[in-house]
Amino acid sequence: MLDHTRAPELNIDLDLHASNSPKGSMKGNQFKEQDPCPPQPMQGLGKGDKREEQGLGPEPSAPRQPTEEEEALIEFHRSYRELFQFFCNNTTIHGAIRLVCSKHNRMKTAFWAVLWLCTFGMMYWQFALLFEEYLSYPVSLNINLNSDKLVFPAVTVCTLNPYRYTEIKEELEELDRITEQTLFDLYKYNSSYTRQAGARRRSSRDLLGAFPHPLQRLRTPPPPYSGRTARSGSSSVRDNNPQVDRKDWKIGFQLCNQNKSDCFYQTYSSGVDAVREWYRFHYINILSRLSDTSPALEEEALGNFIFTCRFNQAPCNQANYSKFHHPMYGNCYTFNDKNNSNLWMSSMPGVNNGLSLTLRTEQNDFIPLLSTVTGARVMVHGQDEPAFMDDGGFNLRPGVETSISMRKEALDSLGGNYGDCTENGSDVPVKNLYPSKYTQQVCIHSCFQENMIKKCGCAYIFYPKPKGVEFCDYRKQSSWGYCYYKLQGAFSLDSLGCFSKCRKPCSVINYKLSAGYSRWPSVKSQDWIFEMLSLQNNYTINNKRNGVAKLNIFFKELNYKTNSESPSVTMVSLLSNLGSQWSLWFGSSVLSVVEMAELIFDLLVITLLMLLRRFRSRYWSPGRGARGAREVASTPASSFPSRFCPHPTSPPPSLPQQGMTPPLALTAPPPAYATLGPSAPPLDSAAPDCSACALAAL
Amino acid sequence: MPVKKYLLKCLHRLQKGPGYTYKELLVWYCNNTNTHGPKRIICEGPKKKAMWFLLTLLFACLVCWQWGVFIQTYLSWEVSVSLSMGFKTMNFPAVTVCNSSPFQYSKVKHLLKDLYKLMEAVLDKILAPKSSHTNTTSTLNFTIWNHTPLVLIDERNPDHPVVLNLFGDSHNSSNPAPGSTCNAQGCKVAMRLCSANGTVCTFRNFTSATQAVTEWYILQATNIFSQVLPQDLVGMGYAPDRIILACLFGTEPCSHRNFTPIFYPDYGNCYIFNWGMTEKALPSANPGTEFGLKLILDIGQEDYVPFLASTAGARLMLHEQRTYPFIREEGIYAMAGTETSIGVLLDKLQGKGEPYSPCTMNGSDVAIQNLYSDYNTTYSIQACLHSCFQDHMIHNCSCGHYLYPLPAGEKYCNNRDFPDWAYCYLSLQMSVVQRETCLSMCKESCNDTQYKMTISMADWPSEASEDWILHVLSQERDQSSNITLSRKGIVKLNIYFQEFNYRTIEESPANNIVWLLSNLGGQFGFWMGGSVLCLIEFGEIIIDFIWITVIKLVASCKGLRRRRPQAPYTGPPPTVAELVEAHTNFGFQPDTTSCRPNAEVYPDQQTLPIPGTPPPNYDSLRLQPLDTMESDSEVEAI
Repeated sequence: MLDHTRAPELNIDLDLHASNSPKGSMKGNQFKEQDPCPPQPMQGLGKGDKREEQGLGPEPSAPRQPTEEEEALIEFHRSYRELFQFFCNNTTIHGAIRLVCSKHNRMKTAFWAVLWLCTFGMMYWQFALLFEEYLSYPVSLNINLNSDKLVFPAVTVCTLNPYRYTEIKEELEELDRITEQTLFDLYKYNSSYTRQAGARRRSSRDLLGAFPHPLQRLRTPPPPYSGRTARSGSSSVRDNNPQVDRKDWKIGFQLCNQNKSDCFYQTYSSGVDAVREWYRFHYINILSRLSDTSPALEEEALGNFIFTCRFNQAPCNQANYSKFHHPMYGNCYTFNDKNNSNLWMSSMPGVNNGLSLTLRTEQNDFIPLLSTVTGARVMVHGQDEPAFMDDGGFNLRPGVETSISMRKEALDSLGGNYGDCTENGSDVPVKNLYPSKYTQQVCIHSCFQENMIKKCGCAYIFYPKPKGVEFCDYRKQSSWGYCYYKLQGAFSLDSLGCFSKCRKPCSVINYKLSAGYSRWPSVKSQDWIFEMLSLQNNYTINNKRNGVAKLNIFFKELNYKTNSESPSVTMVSLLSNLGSQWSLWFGSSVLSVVEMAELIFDLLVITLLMLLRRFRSRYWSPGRGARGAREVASTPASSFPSRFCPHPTSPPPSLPQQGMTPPLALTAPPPAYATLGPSAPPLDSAAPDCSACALAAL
Repeated sequence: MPVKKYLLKCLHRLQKGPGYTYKELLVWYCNNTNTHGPKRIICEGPKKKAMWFLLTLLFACLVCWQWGVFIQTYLSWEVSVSLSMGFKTMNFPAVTVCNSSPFQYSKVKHLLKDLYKLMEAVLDKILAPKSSHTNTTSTLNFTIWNHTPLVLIDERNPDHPVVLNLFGDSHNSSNPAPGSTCNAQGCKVAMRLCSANGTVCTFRNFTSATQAVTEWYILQATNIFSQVLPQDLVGMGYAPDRIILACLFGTEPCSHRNFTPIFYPDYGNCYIFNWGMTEKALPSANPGTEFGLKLILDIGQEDYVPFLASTAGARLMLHEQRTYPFIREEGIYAMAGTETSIGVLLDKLQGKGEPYSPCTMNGSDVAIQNLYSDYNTTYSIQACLHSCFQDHMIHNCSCGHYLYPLPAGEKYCNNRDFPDWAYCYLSLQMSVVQRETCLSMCKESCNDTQYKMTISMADWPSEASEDWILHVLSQERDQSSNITLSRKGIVKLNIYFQEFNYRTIEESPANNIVWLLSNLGGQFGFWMGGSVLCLIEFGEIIIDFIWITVIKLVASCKGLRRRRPQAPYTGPPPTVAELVEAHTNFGFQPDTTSCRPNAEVYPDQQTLPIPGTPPPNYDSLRLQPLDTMESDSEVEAI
């Protein structure tokens, strides 16, 4: 105990001795104690500077401006080193204090400096990763399972065969005759019409000119002949044996542009496809001459197509459906449309709580050459969406009860930077021609129609047309077929840019369908069902095949899945991550950054002050050069700094002895300048001297 | 010389040490560290000092715990899933079409002649067991039958089941009564399988005679076809121009030349459209039937193999380009006399691979050789499972199965070269261990593409158009004015994209390195206001501690060496009186008197302290060792 108490006392005494006499002590303890006390000699130096300033103060009392400048300088540090030490000692950034407190150990200081720089680099690398992730706008997917009453979707049912209109009946009959003649010429096929060969053939020969683009057999590759040579070629084929090179034959028809300068053949590998496409091409031209109004026929057609209709065990009425005409699928009826006064709601799943239809699918008055299938076409879609029967529909088979179970699924995506989708299609550079909300298919069809009108001068009959434009007909636009097939090829290759323009909608609702099939009616119940249908709906069994189909559409379950997106990285999480990185590497905060800003500001101010001093010294030196007498005076001024240089290295006791000499030297020049006479030059000469003394002191 | 000076300088620096003691080092660290808390330990009083020490220790433990949780979360490799659905231009899928019957019966009749006769005899036996056909059985070829015969098992007496060979009557006429009373209704039909020696036999039971006969026929047919050369097998199947009557893709015509033929053992010659192996894959730009693939096929079921194909229809499959079509596992049937419309939705799954998901990128890290790589196709789990089964088959049965590709240098199984292959094959197929082994070794593919199909049907051709369509197709294929096709044999296919043609499910890492470092920094800053530089400060302090410890150890060793000369003095140092007496004893009697004078001197000393003289001597003696200790410390200090 006593020893412990004695040791610090001895240390204290040694400290006193050190302060009294700066001679190096013999014992090692003094060195250890001096290491953690570097600020003391700095304080001593500071005191010395102050004393010098006080001593210099009264002598140049006349010039007030220099004192003001010196006072201004006091607020800012006098040198970079001093500023740096102040910053490192007082900042809250971790690691900075180690740059100055381990000053005696250069290896440690260098180690901490390098470590500080490496940490700085690591932090900014992490910052780059964080900003890169934020600017990529990632989203996270939320899958929710909802259970609620569901609005029953719109259901569109079409006959699978186009309808014969009275207006175009005669033209269709003529087209039938030409097609039958073509089938006979190419395939030796005799239909029932050829029984009256004499009269019919004459009329068919006369009508050949009424339908251009005849169907003909071509040898591969198709020759680039004109129509006349093609005809002669076909006639020569008849003369030769057609069985030779059978596999090289193709069936097609020729299409030319306006001035017959460029022609090509639309070819098919089989006559079944060729006849159907050729018939369809001419059928489109006939349809385009049809007027927009023929309501009487449609009203009659419903009873012939739909025998029974029930929803939730209740019969349907006139207000439950709307009708429209499809060029290929004939009459279409949409149930639960948006125009429906009371939308159908489903509160229970199951077969008995959905839509149930009995449809008539036989072909009494349809076109066998255009449509070769028997059945019906059905599509399930939203109320605001058009019914694209080609894209999303499916077929019904006669003699079969088709049960279709649905499950609703919704997908909500984020727009803007997060995903490439559009909210309502207003920002898509394609005008919406459909009277419905925006979907991607609506946009693509409108884009195709837009290009069709621009390049061919007429509208395609399958898509709606804008006002003031007519549907294509080769009686008015003779080369629209050539233009249409060329455009369709470009459309398939995406040369029109429709798929890059049309973006997907942000909110999508679709229905997952699964179908089950069973035979209906059964053999046992077939007789009484058909008898009931004949009594109620005038259904007559004329054909050997079954001509009735049944359809059930219902919700499999009322739970529906919603896929929604939310941003993964928000501004709040970005700032939190930045702060975490800052805290990890430097333990700093925004206030620490303000400290750094203050450091930079101080550096700039000191730099400006030093530049200002240099500017002033340069301004005085030309004055010296102007006058020879001042040059003589400048030589003793330059000698002063050289004398002052060794002062800091000498021990403190010698300072006051040499301090006497500067005032003596300073006292000599003033009288010389005063004797010269002008008052302004002495003031200028006095200021640099004071600044030189200050610089020397620093 | 400068190197030596530098080394000497370093040596002196090391010997000098950091210049601190433990206490000074700790005080300096607590005073200068940037971590929150340690400074309080030295600024406060004794009670608060303990409290601050405990608090600092507690929060340090909290930081370590939180860091452990975050590191564990990072190492669990979680993924986040994103879903995208819409329509875009993409490649039309590859379409593979096959016939239900692998061969035309008119071309394989000569191979199946003996089997056909046996089959008829078996059916007669099962349907009418009482009738005797001894004469007809003599013309049958029993070499096929003897390997795997069909037997009837009479289980009316459960304790003693009776096994009867279907043709056993001709060999064992001594028991006609029980054989004639058993038929398909009363007994079970089974297949008997024996090893090469015939010592070990097993029975494969069936609940229905139809299944038994069909399975038996397939097994025998496999044995026959495996001995035929592959090019001959291709010739026995359906030719492409016979199957594919019409083809239309969008607005472009196509023919059977656009299809790539491939032989599939289950379905014979299959034809792949848009496979992308030799030519570029075809894109599809719009939904709807008008922009898809339309096919008219003739399955020609009049020429089906009678017992091999009991299903009539076309078999088809949609798959990605450059993938092998596993049409038996993933294909669907299309009905004859109908137009089958297939709406396609692409389901694309993109996984991250190891260590996020247990999947493989290209199958190179799977330990099973991919036998389908000879077709230059990509990896799939189905290919891996098939290759695994074939590997087990070759390993256990010494031959490969006819349905799967062979590795180099192996042969297909047949009765002639491998008599017990059927027994081995069926035992391997019914083995659960084999299936589990294959499933554990095979991995899913990270980038998987599936095509979801919405299938619907309509009558085709319709009654009104049936006449002209059949007429045109017959004229085109057979150059005949008569109708050579039947509505029961033609199939029409429409394959097209729906309104939404793709759905992409993509994985991305949920926690990356930035997330981990951000959270570690957040926790360290939250509890202790610390940073990486604080950790390095702590490391520096530990180094200084070790340095001081080493120097102290060295100093203590030196101290021990200096004390060795004093070792002869055991116990307390001797007094001056004892030393004087020792000298005198040496002079008089060195041996005998040295012991006795010592004993005598002890009582003398006991008598001496009584007068009072000893106390001052003891004090002076005690003062001397203190002086020596001080001198030692001074020497050490110097």
